[in-house]
Amino acid sequence: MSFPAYRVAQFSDLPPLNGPGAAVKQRILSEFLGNPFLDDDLQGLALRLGLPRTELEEVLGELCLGPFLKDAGKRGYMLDFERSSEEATTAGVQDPGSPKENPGLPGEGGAMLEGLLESLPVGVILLRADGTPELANQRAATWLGRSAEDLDADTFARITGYSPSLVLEGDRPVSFSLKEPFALEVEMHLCRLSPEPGILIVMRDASVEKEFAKAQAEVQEELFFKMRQEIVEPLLRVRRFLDSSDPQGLGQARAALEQVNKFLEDFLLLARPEPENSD
Amino acid sequence: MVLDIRDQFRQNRGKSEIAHQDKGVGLEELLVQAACGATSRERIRAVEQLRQVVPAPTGMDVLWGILDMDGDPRRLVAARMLGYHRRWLSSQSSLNRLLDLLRRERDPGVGVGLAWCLRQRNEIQEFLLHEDDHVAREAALGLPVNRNTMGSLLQALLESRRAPVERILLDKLGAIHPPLVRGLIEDLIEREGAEYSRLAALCARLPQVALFEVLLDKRGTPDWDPHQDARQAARSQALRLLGCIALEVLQRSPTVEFLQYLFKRSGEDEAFARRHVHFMRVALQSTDAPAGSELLEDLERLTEQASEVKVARMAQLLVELDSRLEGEAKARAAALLERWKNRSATLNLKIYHLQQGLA
Repeated sequence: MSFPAYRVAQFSDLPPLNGPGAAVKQRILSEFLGNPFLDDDLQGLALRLGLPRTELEEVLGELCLGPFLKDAGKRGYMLDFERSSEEATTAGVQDPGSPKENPGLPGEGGAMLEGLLESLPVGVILLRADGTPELANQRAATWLGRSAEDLDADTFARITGYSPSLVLEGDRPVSFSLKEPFALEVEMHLCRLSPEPGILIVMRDASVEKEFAKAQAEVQEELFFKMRQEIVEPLLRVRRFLDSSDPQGLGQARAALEQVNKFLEDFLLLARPEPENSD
Repeated sequence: MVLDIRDQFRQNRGKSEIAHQDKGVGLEELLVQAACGATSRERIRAVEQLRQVVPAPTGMDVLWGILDMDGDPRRLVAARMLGYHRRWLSSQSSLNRLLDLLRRERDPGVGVGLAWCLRQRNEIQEFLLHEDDHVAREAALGLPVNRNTMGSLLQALLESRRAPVERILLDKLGAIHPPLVRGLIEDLIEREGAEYSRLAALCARLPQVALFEVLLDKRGTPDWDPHQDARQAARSQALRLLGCIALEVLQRSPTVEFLQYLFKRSGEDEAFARRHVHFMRVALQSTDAPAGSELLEDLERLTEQASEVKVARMAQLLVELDSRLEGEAKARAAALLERWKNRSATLNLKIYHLQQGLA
């Protein structure tokens, strides 16, 4: 390697890699730290590292269990920023930029509540009536691309286009969906923060639905493309033959019809001819 | 009836672009933090946000602008971001712009980032023989293997002297779609002066059934033409050379799938079994014990309610395979042969002769 290697973090910033396969784990992480946008799947990583898939699969599983990588499904494996940066902090890495403790959660009970909040599969923001933040979990902060302490009503409104004060004006919850910066379903509820009213915002990940709809659109595109290629074009050929009645085009027209027939058979739109009994 | 939902995405695109118009400045800040942040936490947080933010047209302009500025420390992160959010690939002008950038890029790190942007695109084939090793490696990693890229792949494989690129391309050939093998062989025949060792390494990675069908089965052999010209003669010579290599590769290290294919074809087609009897005998001698055990199961399945003629052909293969079996598998093979012998006196005699080496 002759070029200065960029790394989003150093190995010393991460918890130590122990146990069997530590060398392989280090090689895998090295690729991800060098390109933190990397999203190779198992096959891609095996190719990149020159390792057999069976060996890699096991090690990747361990890295996903630890605070290093996450399995992003169709997108492949990705660096798990949320957990790796948390682990980096708890591992004693000096980092002046680490987020402040949630001011609304003092003491042991606060720690318990915080633990509960962070383990929720949804993003939660609790605002006071004047718009100042009471608490927010990391998931909400990550999805909205701001730190938890910055998530006040104005910031939320700027990001989403919906002001949380809407729920203070009426007593009905407000729901909307968000495409950017993350596909989310958002609900805003009026709640009571003794003795004043507060606003509870709950966010759910809608990226799976978005992915699904995208995949469906892609399949549809592909089907239309195939239909253009394998039905429309052959039928045009048949039409040209019928228009001109040139006997030389008969063979081509016949082949075109066969092509259409084959396509329809493949998609079960047409019953396959029964095999003739040779008896 | 199919509901056309494609327009939904076109409509949504406009909304998301508006949502991000106010983030042009933020994007630049994030790029600075991701590239030059003082702490790993700062860099990680910036990259995390860059992964989540889908750049709008203004954001894309920022990224392209940074890439145009030589010496800007944000160029690598900008290239990576373009590689992560690849909606721009649908624009031919953007694609051409990236290709131009990559062609004249002097920073190998950024070059690798730009090459990563083109993963699984046919355009990446242009960079397989790039002067920089890292860019060539990334190009090899991102190369889709199809009819359009096969020529470049072969050229790189036969001309590149870079071990990582060679390893990646050979690995890719190992997973090639079998119908592409014929086209690949045709392409190889047209290339002159390829080293024998490279051709052998290449053939060793191809799907064996397809390789056999193209080069060794009757369908692959060229018809002899007494009036052939020099070019046709060279083609025939190249085909024969590849045939020799394929023979050596397939006999030396046949896969279980390939041997299963041979067993199946031999059972179905007597002419095939006769034609390739010697080939199969040698190939079976290269089989190891675990593979032999697996093949034994295959033989048992193939001869269930089979005709005597088919069983006799399978018995010939089993007798060859027997020497490669160990332990329980060897006992099972002996039991299977005994079971076949009990089918008829003719079969009994035939198998006995095979076991004595008289057939």
